[in-house]
Amino acid sequence: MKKGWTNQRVEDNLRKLPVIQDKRPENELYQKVVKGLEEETDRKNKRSWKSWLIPSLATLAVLLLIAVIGQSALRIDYFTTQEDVADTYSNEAKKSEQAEVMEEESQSATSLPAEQSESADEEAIVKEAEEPVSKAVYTDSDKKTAFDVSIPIEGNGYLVPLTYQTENTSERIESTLNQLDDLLDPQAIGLPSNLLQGVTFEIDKSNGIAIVDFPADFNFEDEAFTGNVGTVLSRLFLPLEINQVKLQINGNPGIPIATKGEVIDSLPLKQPGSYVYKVYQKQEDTTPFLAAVPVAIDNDIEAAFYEMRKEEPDNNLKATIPSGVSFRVQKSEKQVSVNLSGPVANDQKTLDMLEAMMMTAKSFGYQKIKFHVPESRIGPYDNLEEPLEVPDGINGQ
Amino acid sequence: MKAVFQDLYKKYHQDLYQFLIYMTKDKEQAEDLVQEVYIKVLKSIHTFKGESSEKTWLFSIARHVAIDYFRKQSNKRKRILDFFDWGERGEQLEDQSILPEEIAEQNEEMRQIYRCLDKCSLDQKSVIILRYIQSFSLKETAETLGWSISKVKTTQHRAIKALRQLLQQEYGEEGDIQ
Repeated sequence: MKKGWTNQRVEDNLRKLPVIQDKRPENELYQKVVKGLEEETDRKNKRSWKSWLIPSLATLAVLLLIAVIGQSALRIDYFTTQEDVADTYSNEAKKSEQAEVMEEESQSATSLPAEQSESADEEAIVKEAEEPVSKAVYTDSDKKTAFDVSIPIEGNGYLVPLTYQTENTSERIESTLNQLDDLLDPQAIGLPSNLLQGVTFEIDKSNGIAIVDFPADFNFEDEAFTGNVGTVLSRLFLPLEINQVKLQINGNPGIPIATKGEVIDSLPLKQPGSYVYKVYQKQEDTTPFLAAVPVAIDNDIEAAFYEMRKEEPDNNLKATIPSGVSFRVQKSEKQVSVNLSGPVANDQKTLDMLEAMMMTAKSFGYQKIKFHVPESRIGPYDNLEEPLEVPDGINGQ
Repeated sequence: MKAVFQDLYKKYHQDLYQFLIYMTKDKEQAEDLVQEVYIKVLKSIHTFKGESSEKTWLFSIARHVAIDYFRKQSNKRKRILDFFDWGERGEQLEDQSILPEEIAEQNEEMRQIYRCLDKCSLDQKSVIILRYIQSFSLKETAETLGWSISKVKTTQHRAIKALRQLLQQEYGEEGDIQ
């Protein structure tokens, strides 16, 4: 019986494609690899020999020229007859000839390395091989939604948003939120604890309501909690079109707010202010994240980008726009256009810069960002000719 | 150096080779490329910062080596086509490469899939090989390709659709299976 091609049939067959093995002995391959490495080293040595010899000759020529110029200057001081002046002119002519020779030599020294640049290319490939990893999240269908669980870090109001994707229904959102304690182990990835550890959620999207239920032993006096709970819940729920949050402890309405000395049973959500994004990395061996840093800047994306140049070592934050990179910004209503120049490459630093700029632009109300860069591809962004949509989230989980 | 090589060989060699042979569809080429991967890896192992896993780092190098090979092949092919002035007709020339024996032994349906895989875009082909043939997780695939997990999912979905359409175009709606 014939059956049509279906996605399932294609997938099943792909999984059944045979294992293809290399039957060469391990040692034979090793010998070839060693030989290849030796040949590369030989090539490099030859290059390095050429690379110092020619610049050295050029330097020698410069020294010689200085000596000649020095001599002719002395002669101008001592002799002032027409003949001497003519002699000086002729020296000048020689000097200019020599300068040309020197320039040619120095040009050949700088352009020398056709081979050297080839070797730089090869090294670039090896470097590039550690392909930059995107931190941006784009939901891949209209049926899906993304929400942020924000982890407060060092610094007042500083957060690392972790984005989760789920189907855009109350049930799926609720189920994902209630699995957070299993899904998320902040310490294991170099982050402080999740403010909402042990909390359970009920979501009613149709009425825009969420019930947040804290365990009986929850520490409401924790400074990180009192300082950030409003922002964390606002950042979580407002993008999900939930505007009302009911707070309870073990099913009983109301939670104590230590700073106010009162019990509240609901929390007004408000749009968080503006953020710029920087790289947060607790230690060298922990995962780097893009962190949201609150800024008191309104409607000035350029000023926000300048903020992104600032290092904050005390808060374990690294600048996302390197000082060597300069930028020009043009704005329209929903789109920002950024012209970047300086050390821009297809590497992690540049990708972090681009994604930090996109998230910052999003925080400032822009929907698209167009980068003018000398690279055609940076990380997953392989069509930089076109403006990019700002991401749905960051630090995808 | 030998110990590093032996360790990598033991852990990843057959998978690396398999990845390259499905990428290039050429046994000899895959042998040369796998050798090139080791040379690059041994030269740059000191720069490996552990930001990704060793496995995904190795495969991302393998993918770049393959891409580099395709780029050179494409330039060579273009020069030949220009020289003979074949233009578009040259692009339509049938792929006559010899099937690896492991594929030749399979049924017609598997051979069709193997042939059509080569007509997918490089990104689609990479995702399919990593996800279905190498059984990489979404996270491993994302790390290897330097993409977000959502991009892997989207590309995977599109790749399967593209492959299905190619199979329908090349071999008819039903395929050749009785």
